[in-house]
Amino acid sequence: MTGWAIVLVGTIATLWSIGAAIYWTVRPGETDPSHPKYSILRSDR
Amino acid sequence: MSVSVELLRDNVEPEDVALFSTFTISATAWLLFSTAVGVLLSFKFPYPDWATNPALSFGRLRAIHTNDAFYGWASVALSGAALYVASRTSGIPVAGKRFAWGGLALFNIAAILGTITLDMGINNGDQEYREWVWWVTAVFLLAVIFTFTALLTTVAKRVEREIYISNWYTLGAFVFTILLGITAYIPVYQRGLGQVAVQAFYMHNAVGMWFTFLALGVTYYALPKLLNRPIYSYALGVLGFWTNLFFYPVIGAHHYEFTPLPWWFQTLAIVFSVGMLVPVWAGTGNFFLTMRWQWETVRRSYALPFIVVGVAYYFLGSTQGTVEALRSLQTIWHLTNYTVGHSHATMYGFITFIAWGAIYALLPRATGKRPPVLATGLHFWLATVGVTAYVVFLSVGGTEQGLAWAAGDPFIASVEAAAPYWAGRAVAGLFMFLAHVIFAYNVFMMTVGPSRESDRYERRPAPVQST
Repeated sequence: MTGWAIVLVGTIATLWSIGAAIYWTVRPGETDPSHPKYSILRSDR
Repeated sequence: MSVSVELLRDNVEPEDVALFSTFTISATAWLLFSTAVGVLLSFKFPYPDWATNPALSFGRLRAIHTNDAFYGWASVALSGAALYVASRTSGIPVAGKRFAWGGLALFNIAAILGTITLDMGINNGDQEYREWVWWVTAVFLLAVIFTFTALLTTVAKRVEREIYISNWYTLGAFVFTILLGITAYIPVYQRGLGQVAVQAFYMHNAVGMWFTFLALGVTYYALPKLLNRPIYSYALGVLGFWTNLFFYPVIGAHHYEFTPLPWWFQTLAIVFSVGMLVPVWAGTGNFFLTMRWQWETVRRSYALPFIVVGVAYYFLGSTQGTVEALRSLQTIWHLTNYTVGHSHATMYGFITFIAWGAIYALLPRATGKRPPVLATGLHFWLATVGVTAYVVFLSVGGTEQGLAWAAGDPFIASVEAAAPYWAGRAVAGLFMFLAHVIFAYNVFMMTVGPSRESDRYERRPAPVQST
């Protein structure tokens, strides 16, 4: 029984992460110029 | 004229250049050796009476091919790139250099000892990717710990406030692999069902938590630098990191469906194999969205095409892995050559292409020496055509094998069905090996070879905005 409860939790986690992935694909965000994704483009990085 | 970013040179300490170069040269030597063994093995299928000396027997050489490709080539190549990425993103030279050099030496000692012992018939039994006896694996784990120390010290001393996502992935790879290696050799897990579960845990996580994390980590640095454009979504990268960490450790059990392992555990492995679509598709989407509308830059680059193929195989190979986990398909494909095709789609199409892309992207920036364009093009096309043909041949041949077994045909019928595909695989393997010889020449030109007029640098263009 415990095993199948783990399967249920795993299924819920899978569905949640699919939703999160869709959200961040549509809204990538991170517009602050000081964000690390911009700072690594400097010539000294 | 558009400017290829590969023409730019980083301001790097000479010892860091030597470190990166030596890791790459060492890895390349193991690539040549392990894949020469692979080519020999591939010809044993159509010509089984060839090279039957025990030292050249299939059982010994097969483990040498896989272990040296894993731990001599891919581990060393990606560790060298990871150290370079950590240094650049942290804004300081590689810290703990003695540990880095020590790690490189230990990687090589482990691979040499592993090769000798396996060829002498001294091994850990029929346990894929951990055929090395425990004391050889202990040397390998020491190499991982030494290199991790250098990596962690570098990141800890960074001048930036945040740890860049590349280092999340690469540090995670080292931490998890240390745990993985220790767990897999605990004596109580060396027999019975515990041995089966731990073998699944080790075999699959060596790919998914070591090589995948290292490859994704260097891609999150190399790709934006090559395009001079920020990664599309940093948050997607973070989600990919945590979901990979959550889903991956259990899915190895999908290699042991229909065994005495608990049924719910097998089901969990299948559910999490589906869950793995999240980090895989999110990562693939993130990389391709970063590349969008930059295809001319990709075409002109000698590093980006390798990364494009690597990301494409990451998507295809990993999605294929999810599909293979489904019980209805596992009954046909399990234990056939289809699985060998799948492992080459991932470890070669994905991991090795990303390693090449990272080396072509970063090594010239460190040494100031570019690879010859023609040789790089030949490397790319021979390897791409070779691995694609290899995967297609074994996928079709493996399916025919599985269908013959499921139909209850005599075993020899499955051998006869697969034989033409084995010959095709051997020819494809020759293409791949030839690509490796050219890559070795390019590594020579990027490291110890003479400087050329075409190594001049050009001005960095302004960053391209992502949105």
